[in-house]
Amino acid sequence: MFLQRVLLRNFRGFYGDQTIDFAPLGANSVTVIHGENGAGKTNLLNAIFWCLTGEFTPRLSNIEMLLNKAARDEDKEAECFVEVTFKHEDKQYLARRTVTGRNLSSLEVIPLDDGVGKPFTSPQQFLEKIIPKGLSRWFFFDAEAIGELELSGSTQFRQELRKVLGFELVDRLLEDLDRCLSKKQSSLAKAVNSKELDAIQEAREKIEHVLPAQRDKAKALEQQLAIADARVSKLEGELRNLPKSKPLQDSRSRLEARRKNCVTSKKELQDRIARYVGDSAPAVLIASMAAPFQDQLHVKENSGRLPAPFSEQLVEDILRDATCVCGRPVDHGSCEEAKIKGLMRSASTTAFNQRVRAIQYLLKDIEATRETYGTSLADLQRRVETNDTDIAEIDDQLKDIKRQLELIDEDSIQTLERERSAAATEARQLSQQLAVINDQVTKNEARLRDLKLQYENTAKKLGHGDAVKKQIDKIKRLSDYIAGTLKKQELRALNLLQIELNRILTNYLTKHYSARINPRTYEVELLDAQGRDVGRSTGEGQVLKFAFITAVVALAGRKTQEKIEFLAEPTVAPLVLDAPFSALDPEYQGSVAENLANQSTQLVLLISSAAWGDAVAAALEHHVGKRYVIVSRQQGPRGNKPVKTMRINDQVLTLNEYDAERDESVILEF
Amino acid sequence: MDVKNLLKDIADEVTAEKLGSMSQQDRIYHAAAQRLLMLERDLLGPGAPKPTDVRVERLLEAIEKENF
Repeated sequence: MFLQRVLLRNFRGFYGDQTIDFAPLGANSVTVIHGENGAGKTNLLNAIFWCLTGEFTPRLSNIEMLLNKAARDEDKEAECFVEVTFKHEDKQYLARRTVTGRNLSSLEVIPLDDGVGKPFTSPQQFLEKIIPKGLSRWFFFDAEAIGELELSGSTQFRQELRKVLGFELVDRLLEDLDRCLSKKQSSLAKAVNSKELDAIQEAREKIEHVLPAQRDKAKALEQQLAIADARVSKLEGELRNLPKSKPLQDSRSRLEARRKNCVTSKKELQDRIARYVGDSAPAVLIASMAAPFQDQLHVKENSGRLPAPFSEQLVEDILRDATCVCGRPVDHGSCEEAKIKGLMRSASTTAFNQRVRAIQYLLKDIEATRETYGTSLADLQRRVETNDTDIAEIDDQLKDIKRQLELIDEDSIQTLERERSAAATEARQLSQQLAVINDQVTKNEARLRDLKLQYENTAKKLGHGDAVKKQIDKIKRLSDYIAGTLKKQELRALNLLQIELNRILTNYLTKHYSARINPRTYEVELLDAQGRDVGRSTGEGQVLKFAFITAVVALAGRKTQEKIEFLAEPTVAPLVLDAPFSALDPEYQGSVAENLANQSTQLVLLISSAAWGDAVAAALEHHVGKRYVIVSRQQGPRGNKPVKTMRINDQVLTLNEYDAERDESVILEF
Repeated sequence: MDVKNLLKDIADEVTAEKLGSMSQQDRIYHAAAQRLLMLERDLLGPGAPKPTDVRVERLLEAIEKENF
């Protein structure tokens, strides 16, 4: 898909009709739309996103107010819609989404190739075929929220990335094959009339009945949590923008980051304690038996044997030379020789000694573990307690900040703080509910695996139902093959993504940092030259996030796809970014801009004058095919308010105007 | 030459090379897996997603026809 044109009618801050013709594909395929904060960049991003998906980006507020207020005041019947004209696989289409009521809309998609065609009967499904639901948020991205993009390997993140990589279809097929297996196994249980099989199958079906609902619930909670987190973050951003609350909010952000580190560190320590107790507790239990065993070994070692150590070579020499070390003869067949050979039969040989030594070392280890167990465990527990104390202190400080914010005599701050507090409580509750449901899912999945194994072992013992058994075996072999192939392809895709990420980081970062993707969780880590995790909240971490989005978008396109089998249909979509560089350190803005332009098939940037620095301008100027400006017009006199301007190619753009007929945003081509 | 055709030729060559390096058994599984994947895509396709029991029935029928 590539975008050709968007038309907005009375959409939020945009009064009447506003149009953008996007830059065509080719060397200059970047469309830049300039606008100051509050002018309507996020509204414009959401207009396109809403038209194509029916959804909004998480940070957009008041989503029920889509019809422009002035238009509604002038005409109760005023229309509000967004039309997007796009091309897909050489065919042209028009998508129009119209507001039909509060939170209600209708969608039409019309093919345009041979004049205006007949609207599709299932327009949303058609659009979802072009940009699958899970992928859309990667292509229409509110980059001001880039800091909130979690690369920490959450279930939702992993699921969405799997969709982008095209593995979701294979996952679904494997789930369905599992259902096929379950159905066949159920008929086998009936065919062989085994109570044992019946019971296992029944237990299995019960879990299979509840598990999908639990997974769906977890997915829904994750989405709700993401929205609640975005809301907290938005409100905190607003508190940071007010001079009186800024210092307190800054302190709160720092404290919350510290709290997060403490909680992570506490969890790591608790895991270490669990592992340590699991590994060492048996040693402590058997340590009391170790000492007598040690003594026993010494007795066994020496009893009736040549005392260790002795030289086997020396004995061999005596027997060969038939002369003892004292010079007395040891003739063949003599009683001396018989005595030496008798002793040798029960001698402490090297191999025997080694075995005894190994056991002795093991016993010493057990003893050493027993001796240090108490102190090591206490040390780990002390560190957990220190973390607990730190967390409690931080919580007190956070409460204090909240109190101070509530005491500020400014209505807007008090309202924001109240809303933030409610949103944070909601996020906390959702997070707790999610933890509970995730725990249930994990336990049920483990139980299901056990039951499957039990079923297989029991079915093997029964000789009946051979035909069904053959079918079961066939499904199993096929499932195993697909799962094995998928695993390989998944590793290959993640490897390609990692290579692409590291290519970007090598080219653009001044430091020797690299990225690593955990193949199990999909967590993306940023590592320094010594391989230490440097965290993703640094300036370089922000570059990593941009690099990640562009690498994912590029991978979802055709560029690297031929190397991966089992992928869904290739998805080539425009990359539309709102406020792409504001979250980045200035030193990286130019290189990220260059990378975005190089990696995407079509790039649309909604950008403020502050973010359009020299480096960004230099990187993008030769890629820009179309340029627009969103002008914010205000009713009433200018007074002391500023008129904002920006200079591009020696021309001055005016970004806001006063004494306007109405409050509105207008889009002008530049 | 048309770029699209060229890309398709390259993709076909890559596939042929991959199949060539597989064992006879894997080649059979590979072909069956591809057919099932296409069937699953059609069954889940936007516009007409089929319910679970229909998908399971259709997949079982398809597996029955596979000869391995």
